[in-house]
Amino acid sequence: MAVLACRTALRVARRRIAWWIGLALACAGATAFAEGSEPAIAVVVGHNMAPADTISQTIVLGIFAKKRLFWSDHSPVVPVNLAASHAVRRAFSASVFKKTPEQLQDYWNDQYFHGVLPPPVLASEEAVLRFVSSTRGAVGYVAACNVDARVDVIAIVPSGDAASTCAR
Amino acid sequence: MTTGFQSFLCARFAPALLLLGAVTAQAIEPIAEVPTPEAIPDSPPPGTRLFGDVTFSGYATTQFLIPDARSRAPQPPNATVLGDDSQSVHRTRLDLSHLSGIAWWEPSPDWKVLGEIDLQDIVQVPAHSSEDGPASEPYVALDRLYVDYRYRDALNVRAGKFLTPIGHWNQEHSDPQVWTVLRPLISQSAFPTNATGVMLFGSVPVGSQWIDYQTYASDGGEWRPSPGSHPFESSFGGRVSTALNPFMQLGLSASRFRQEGLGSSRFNLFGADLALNWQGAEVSGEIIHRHGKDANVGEEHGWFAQAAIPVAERWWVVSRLEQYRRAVDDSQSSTALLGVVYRSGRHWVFKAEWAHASGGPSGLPSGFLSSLTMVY
Repeated sequence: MAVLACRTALRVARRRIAWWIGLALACAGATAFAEGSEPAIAVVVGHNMAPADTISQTIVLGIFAKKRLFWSDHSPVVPVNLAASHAVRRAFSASVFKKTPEQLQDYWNDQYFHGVLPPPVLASEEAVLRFVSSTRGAVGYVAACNVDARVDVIAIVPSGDAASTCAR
Repeated sequence: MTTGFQSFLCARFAPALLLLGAVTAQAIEPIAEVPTPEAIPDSPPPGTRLFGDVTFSGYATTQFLIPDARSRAPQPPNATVLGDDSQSVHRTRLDLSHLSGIAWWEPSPDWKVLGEIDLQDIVQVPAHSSEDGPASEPYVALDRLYVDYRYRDALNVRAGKFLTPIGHWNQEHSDPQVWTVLRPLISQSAFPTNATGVMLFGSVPVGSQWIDYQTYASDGGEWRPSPGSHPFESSFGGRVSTALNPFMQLGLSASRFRQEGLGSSRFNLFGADLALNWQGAEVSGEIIHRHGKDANVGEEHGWFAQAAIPVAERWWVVSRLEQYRRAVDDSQSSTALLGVVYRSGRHWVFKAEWAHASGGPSGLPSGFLSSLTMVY
């Protein structure tokens, strides 16, 4: 009788351990999935509005620092920013420039006296999508989850908190 | 009954009403599709569109200077070491020292024309000349006038009068850009600050950063040289600069030149500049070495190290140490500077500093210097 009770207890304990291990693995799997689908920012051009060749993050930096002025076919690059307070702009700036928009102030101050102004801004990601999809040479960026058929993605920039902007 | 009927209507037509509401909301909420100029709170104003594609901007600076006894002393004839005469401090004065206008025109993406004139020493108080110093002598300086042709990102051609690409300070010297009223000697004495000629320049991606380069040649013929300056008789040289990391910039300069009024000696000049920016603070420095065959005028070298530390919102404390040796009177001078800077939003910069010069020729700027600059 005692042996039977002991075996039953062991079976229950084994099941509980298996349940906890299963739960732990599920959590680990969910975490891994979440890491795999880390939020990102897509650098986009209008469909047939600019060369859709994939570009590196260094070129992205050059475009938004106004060092890269021409596409591969020598058509002019027309970069547009989101407002400095926009979460996607801040994530983009941190990822590409490793600085906040405010920390880039000295750079643009210097450029200003050489007749170079920072890219103009648009108020929303939807405005960026509309602008680049209707303007030759225009390039902007939106949270990757907001990309649609109007635009081609030419670069993906990793981002920490851009996912919060995906609920449009 | 009424309540029951309303419930029936709501239940029956709710989806349609919601859809209608959403469509109406979208229709009345416009989405701005015209890009507007960047508006970072402390960035400079975006300039004024005059007509067509011409943009105009500039700045005005008022200075209030109180020289110390050393700076009041009469200056010997060969002691002119300043490229910018408005920095001479011989008597207490209030003056409108700079009224600068910058205009640029981009008729197409390939072409750009930029010009900058600077009205200097416009009005001075006291207005009259005295044994302490002369009255104001207004002068219209031509700082820059050039045309750029953008052949490729990596290759642009500039022709005209431009700022000599030696060191960082000389190309970013305007009052709103710099931390101090007083300009370091090595940025204005070891070489002519402007050149008239041709420049090739561009930016090239290397690794995770971009390298900017400028290479230039001049056969003299300076356009509207400033009075008392010794412009290039001939020169060629270049500069490369890059970010070593997001917070550190390095520049290297080299030049070989002759200057008008300094004999036939050909000078070789090498310089390096470094700047670190972090959390609103900036530590920077430049070093220059110039030598030539004629030891009496050729050998000049110096350095400065400067720190600007934020101490409160919009306030910085600035300090600088500088050493400069020049050959013409075989003198070695040192200048220590301590000051404050207040940057108010996009338009105003206030600076106040105490500079103490030792060694070198008398007449070096020394004493209390302050300025108020408005960017427009």
